[in-house]
Amino acid sequence: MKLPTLSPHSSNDPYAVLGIAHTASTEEVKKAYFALVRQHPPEKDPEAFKRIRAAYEQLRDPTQRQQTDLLRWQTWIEPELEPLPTEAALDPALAPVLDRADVIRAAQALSDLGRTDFREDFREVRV
Amino acid sequence: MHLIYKPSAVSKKHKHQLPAPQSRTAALKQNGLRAFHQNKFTEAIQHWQHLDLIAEPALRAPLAEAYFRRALAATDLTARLDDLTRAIEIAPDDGRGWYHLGLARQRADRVPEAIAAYERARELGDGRATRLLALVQIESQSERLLADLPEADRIALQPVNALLRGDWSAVLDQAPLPTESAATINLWRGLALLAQGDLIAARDALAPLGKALRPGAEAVRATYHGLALWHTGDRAGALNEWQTAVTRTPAPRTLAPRLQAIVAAQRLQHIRTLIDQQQWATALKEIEAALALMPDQADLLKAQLIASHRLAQAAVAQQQWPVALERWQAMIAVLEKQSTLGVLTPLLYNLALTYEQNEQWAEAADVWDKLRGKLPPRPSAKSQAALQLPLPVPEFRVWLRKHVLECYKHAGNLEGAITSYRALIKTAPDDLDLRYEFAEALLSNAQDTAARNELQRILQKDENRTAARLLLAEIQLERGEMYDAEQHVRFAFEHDPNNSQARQAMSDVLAEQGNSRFDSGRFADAKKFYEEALKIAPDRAILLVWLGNTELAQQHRAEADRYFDAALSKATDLHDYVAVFRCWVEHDDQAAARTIIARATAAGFATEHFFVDLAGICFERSQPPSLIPFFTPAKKKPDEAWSKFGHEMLQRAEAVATDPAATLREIVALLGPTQPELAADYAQRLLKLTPDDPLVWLMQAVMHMLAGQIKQAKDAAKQAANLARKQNNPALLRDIEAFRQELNNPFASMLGELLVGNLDDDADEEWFR
Repeated sequence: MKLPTLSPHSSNDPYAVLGIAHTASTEEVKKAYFALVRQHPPEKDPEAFKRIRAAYEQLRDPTQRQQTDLLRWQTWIEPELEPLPTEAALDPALAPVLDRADVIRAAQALSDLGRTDFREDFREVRV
Repeated sequence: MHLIYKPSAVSKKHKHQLPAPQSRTAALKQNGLRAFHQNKFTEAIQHWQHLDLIAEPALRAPLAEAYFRRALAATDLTARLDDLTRAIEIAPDDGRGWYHLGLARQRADRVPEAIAAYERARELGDGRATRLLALVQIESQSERLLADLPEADRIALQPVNALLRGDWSAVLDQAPLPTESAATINLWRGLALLAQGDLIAARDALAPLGKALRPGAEAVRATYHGLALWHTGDRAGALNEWQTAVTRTPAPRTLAPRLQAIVAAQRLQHIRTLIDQQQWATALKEIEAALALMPDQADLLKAQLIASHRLAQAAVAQQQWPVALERWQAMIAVLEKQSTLGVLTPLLYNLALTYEQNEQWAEAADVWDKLRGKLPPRPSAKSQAALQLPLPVPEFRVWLRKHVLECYKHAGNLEGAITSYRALIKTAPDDLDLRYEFAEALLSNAQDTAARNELQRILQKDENRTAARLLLAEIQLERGEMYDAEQHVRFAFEHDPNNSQARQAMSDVLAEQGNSRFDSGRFADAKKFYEEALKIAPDRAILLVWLGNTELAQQHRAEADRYFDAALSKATDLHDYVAVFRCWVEHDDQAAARTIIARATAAGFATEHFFVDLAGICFERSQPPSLIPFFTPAKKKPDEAWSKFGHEMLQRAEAVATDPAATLREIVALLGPTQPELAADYAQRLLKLTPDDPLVWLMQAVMHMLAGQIKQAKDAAKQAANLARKQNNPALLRDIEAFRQELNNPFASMLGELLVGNLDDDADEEWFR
């Protein structure tokens, strides 16, 4: 079963805020920023503007952008779970046959190997 | 050998204080005996092992008994084996000791050694060893001994022997021993019935009979009863019995392979349902319980990683850093054991970032360091891809070293970083990159001279190290060694003209020359320097601003406009707009200044910070600050027009503020040094937003103090102290109390001015945040 991997910080991810790919060029970053500012001018939508501005601040300068990229949460690829075993796959385990190891296990458990209390073996001491 | 008591060397002076040897021996014996009777076997051994066993042969048996009893009380098999070995070393003729050593060895799967111990026990007369020896032989399919066994042992082992040989009828026909429990008889019969295919009879025979069987045998019974139930249609009953089999498997709970396969399938199905329903926390609990039974089950480990990952992500999104830390750590622990289940580096990366978010800088530095240790010395394309890093390994390594340093700085442990650099340099003295980073670390630790020496060493080894040369120039500039600094910058630029840092530094040098010419009114010379700087750094909008300002100073309005226009078309942040605005303010042209605001608004730079900056410029124009604080002659009348403009800018800052409290704080800090009364009004408004913030009360107190309103300042400071006390913030309380003491100082307002005047510095800003 393949589970989708989540981006934990989509709301803080400057790329997500500007709606661009991580590979976007400086020009694309700028273009996306101005387009969003036109849609969300500070007077009308200050919250959105603040986020857009903050995202742009992180990406506009190459050094700052590299720093942003380096301090982004890393995507971890989850392992894929194997399909659940079918009942047929469990046939060997469910077969009504006797396993030698189980007989030995029971025999050992019934012998002194399965005991924990040996008080009768203790001896008095004198010094 | 350690049993022999060796008196320690003591000085003659103290010899008389020790008990006589005879009484010391007696004391050790008695103390040991007391401990023994209190079941404190370790203590008893400690007392007795100081005595000479040759001189005290009667002590052998008690000491061996102490080891024997401690062994039987031990839950750890290795400790038990060690103590039993010690016991038979001291009392080698004790058959009981050998027998238990055999049992312990067999439990540890050391069967040949167990057989040797059983044989020795039997030689010494412990008859119990006979049955265990026979059992070992039956297990290895040898029937030789069975006929020779005493009757009780033979009859007891007969069903086991028959079952192992597939002789079901021998089990079913055999008359049981009168001493055998019904539960044991039923177990052997049930297993034989199941093996011969009579599932209904097996089901009945294997049905539970209370807790009559020992745990391991009960686990086998429940497993096979489950099978009989499963095949006779009672699946729910079967699942219950398998659950019983799990709980009755003795510690360490290693499930039989058949049981493990069944239970794993059953648990995984449940876990997968939870995962599909995104019940990550519940799934994780189930997974952890299942892993306690099946520690290496790959699918369970994968499910654990997935559930942990989802929980970590959710915790990060909700900024629950301790939860995220726990999850990343759990995942890393899994991958460190099972590297095939995923890549470790992104998890280490995220763990380090989480530590940073939680401000655990020392821990973050450790994790980054660990990540650095995972980087291959010479990465191939394949290994680079496998690591899943945001940069190629060499660049990442450099960044990582710097970042670790940053973390050390945050943790206040630069000495630690420097020590680690010194050690690294010892191993690689010719690694000039490393030496450069070391110099940076020294500089960060305010060891400027050591940093300068290190940089000079680098340049002696390689004069073309541009970064080292520029950093050296920076240090020299700080120390006022202008000429040397400029020489280094020119050298760097001439030898490495494509280096962006060298270009920037060279353009800085030229721009600085331009500024100095501008200040002395030599506008034509200034222009030449600015133009030369611009050739080197054509994207620096500020150079165009200064060129425009030079034209404006010469009343060349049209040329100035062209430069400003060019500057703003290149502008990438609000500071260039602020700079052009300042030029027009200095030129006393409000109309032109307003066009800059309009343009910044259209470009999306008109934030609250922008307007606060503009307000500051307007107020400066309205009433320039004194160059000599405290001893200012009478201030001239403010320029009302610019003052009004400044107030308008403050209003606009508040109008676009996304965090009104933060903006008010910024305004208070701006106004404090020049207009403390107005600043106090803004602080009052800030208090309405955050009435329980002791820092804001302190800020208000400072503003009152600057305005000479000492009584109000004392009242506000008192309130700040009360709140800090109530909120259990002793560090802040100390600061407030120190400030309250200063309020009694006749020069109080000057101290306040110093305090607020430094608000732009990070440290003080932090104090006011």
